[in-house]
Amino acid sequence: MWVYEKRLQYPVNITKTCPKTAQLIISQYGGPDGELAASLRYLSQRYTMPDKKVGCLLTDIGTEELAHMEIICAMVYQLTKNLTPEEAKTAGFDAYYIDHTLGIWPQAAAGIPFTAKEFQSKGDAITDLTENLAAEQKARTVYDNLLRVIKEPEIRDPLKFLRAREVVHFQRFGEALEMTKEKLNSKNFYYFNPEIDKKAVK
Amino acid sequence: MEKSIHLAIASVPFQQWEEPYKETEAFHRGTIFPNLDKPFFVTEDPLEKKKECSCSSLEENSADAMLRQIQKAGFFCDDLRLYLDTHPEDQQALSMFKEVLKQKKTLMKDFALSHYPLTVACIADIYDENPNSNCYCWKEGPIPWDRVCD
Repeated sequence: MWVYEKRLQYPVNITKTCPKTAQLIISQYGGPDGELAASLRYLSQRYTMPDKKVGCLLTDIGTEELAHMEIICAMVYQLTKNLTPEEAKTAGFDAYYIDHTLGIWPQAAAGIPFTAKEFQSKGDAITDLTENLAAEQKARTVYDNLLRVIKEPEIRDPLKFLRAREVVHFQRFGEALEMTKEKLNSKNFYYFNPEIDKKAVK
Repeated sequence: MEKSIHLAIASVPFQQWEEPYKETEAFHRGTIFPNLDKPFFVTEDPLEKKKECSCSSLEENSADAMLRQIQKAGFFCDDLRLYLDTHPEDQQALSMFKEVLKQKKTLMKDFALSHYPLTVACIADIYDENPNSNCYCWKEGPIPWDRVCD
């Protein structure tokens, strides 16, 4: 069960419409390394985690990613607010406009629809936690790239906040992997699958 | 930590407790921990004056200023909780968590009573104070994804 708090985790106040920038930022909603994929990845993986504490961490980070998704959507919404069809056309936002008008829809920057193919829930704690370490790094790189091309401080500010969260989450998933390793045979971490061969876990 | 040195598997050292940033600084850095604060320097313009925290321009006790306080306390709780998830034995972190969570609860109740509710639990706070209240849903107050200036 989830409880909604009617506020953003970090404020977004973008005063100038810019559909071109919206088209880039929308990737962190529905793109391969976006917040939606991150949330679904962690919230899917948690059910079979052998260490209860790791399941709790996946719940908390998966929930925070939902809040990040809301921040990204707020940014796209504000960047396209009151956009006219002519502005959409000049800015190269016309293809999106034809399919979705000003609705917020999960897609990558290049227009590829959101897909569950972007993430894994592999049913092996080591594999999944290693995937999560990579996922946080990939998302950080996307934020780095966005910060390289976007100059407006009011747009950069929430992006910098979201980027900082990727670094913290990486650290936590690393610690979750260490917690998982502590319960395994350090001579061979791959001797069995900790999610299935439960009798072998310490 | 010496025990995490193993071949053919990723290792990340456990974070050691450190004095966290104060609430406002933590919020703007995106983490409460100075040791995890690793910004992307290459795109920062060194000539650009360090931006004043926009919170300082918010009118005292206004809905916006109170909401910002809730965001700061809420973020402190969020980040500290992730630390506790992997450091459940850390008593210092736990006592700090208790303190900030209590602070957030009070702020949210005050906000509900003076402005509008942010959660269903806050609606219950409103009913405690005013059993005849007609408040029941999200329609009170501005929508969170709108521009503040609109």
